[in-house]
Amino acid sequence: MNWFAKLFYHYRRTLKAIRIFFIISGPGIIVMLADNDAGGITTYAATGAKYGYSLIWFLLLLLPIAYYVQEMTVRLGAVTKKGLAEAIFESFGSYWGWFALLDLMFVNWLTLVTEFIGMTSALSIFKIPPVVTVIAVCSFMGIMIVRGRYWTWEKIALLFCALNLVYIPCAFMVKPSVEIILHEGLIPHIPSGSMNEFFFILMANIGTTIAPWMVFFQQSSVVDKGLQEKDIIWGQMDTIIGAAFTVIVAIFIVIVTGTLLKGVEISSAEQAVAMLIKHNKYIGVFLAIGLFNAGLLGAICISLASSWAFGEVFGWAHSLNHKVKEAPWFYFFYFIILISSALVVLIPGAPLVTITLFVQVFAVTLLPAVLVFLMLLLNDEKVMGEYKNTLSQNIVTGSIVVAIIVLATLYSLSALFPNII
Amino acid sequence: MKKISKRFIDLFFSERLGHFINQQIEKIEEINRKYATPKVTLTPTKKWILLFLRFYVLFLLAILFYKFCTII
Repeated sequence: MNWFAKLFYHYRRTLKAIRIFFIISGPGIIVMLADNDAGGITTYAATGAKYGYSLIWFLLLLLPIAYYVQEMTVRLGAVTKKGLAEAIFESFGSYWGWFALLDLMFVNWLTLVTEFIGMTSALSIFKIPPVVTVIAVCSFMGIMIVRGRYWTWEKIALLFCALNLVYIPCAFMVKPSVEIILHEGLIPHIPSGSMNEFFFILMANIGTTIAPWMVFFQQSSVVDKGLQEKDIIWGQMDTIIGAAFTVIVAIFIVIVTGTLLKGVEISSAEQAVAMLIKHNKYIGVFLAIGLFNAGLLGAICISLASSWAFGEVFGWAHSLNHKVKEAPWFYFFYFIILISSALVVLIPGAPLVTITLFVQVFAVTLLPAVLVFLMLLLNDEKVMGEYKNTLSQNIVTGSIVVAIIVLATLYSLSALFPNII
Repeated sequence: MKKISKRFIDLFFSERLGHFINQQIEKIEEINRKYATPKVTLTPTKKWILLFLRFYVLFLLAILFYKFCTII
């Protein structure tokens, strides 16, 4: 009887833990899966097409990198109850505050344009004109944010996160050899070919894994959700599960293009989709749906990251739990960013390639600054109290931050001046 | 300077829009006052890091400006 009572007790405890996790999880999974946005899908598709399965080991390395950076935002948000923009203003003064805020707004706006490029390209495969896509997406995102509360928004976003897993069945459909994947993919090695191109692909993969908007978004999301210090452990679990999903999706995209398009130069995801349709209609269609979903998920998160950041600094009511009347500026700002970036895609002959190029560079101007601020804030006892970084956390995150800064800078320079490396 | 910018706005924008812009400028000034002094304890190491960051950002912006000019 005693044995049965203990078992029942553990069962109830586990059930309660799972229930708490499902209540608290969300920001980490959403931010990580939204990270596989239209630009991310392009990068992973190009990686698989160029090097086959050879870089799967490198994608696995991105899991701890993504986790350690994003985990800091969970602790900072839960302890300070402030978004990162407000925390930077408060801790480092208005000079750095304005720099971070304006750069974030600009990067986010440009990134949002690239998401719309991805969505319109994906649906153009089904002969849907860009103008219809833009109107449908803007209307949907408007209704999603205006009609619901944070919980509703999060649930819808999680549904799109689940759709992001569409690449997994695609990988099974191409019937790759598991033995070759394990042999080529899991043993770290440098594939033959140009070192410049190899280095560029590595940097592009890092660049898509850690983006400035993700850091701002997750912290604001943690604050809007109302996570407390005691919830940090659940927030960390949420983040690591999200990071695992991101890497899994990336690996499966690499498997698809690595199996069917190995040795082909790919410059855009829609090009990959068009080529895959020739191989297998269903895989191509799945990938097009996945690309549209990736763009939509990215757009849902990026547009909110900017509005949250501006609301924090300007002191506007800035929660999804507020109605439009209660937080007019928050919603106004959200729609301005959304509609203006959507309209760029509809301009005939708009310099979309140049925009994509500048996104990478502006992201790099902000990323090192954001990561340095995060590290400094997480090491300040006055701000973090007992939740400040430990020595081992500092060694790990410090090494990651230095590596990201160096590689992101090189990536940006090589994007601007292709022959520099 | 503040008066000049206010007169400039009054001169070129309609009354309502001018009032709105002036309100936003005041809001920005209020934010600058509110966050004038950094709250984080600035040790010499932190000061060096921020100085390095300042030069790094200026370097990237200069490169970006150069690229922008050459593209155009």
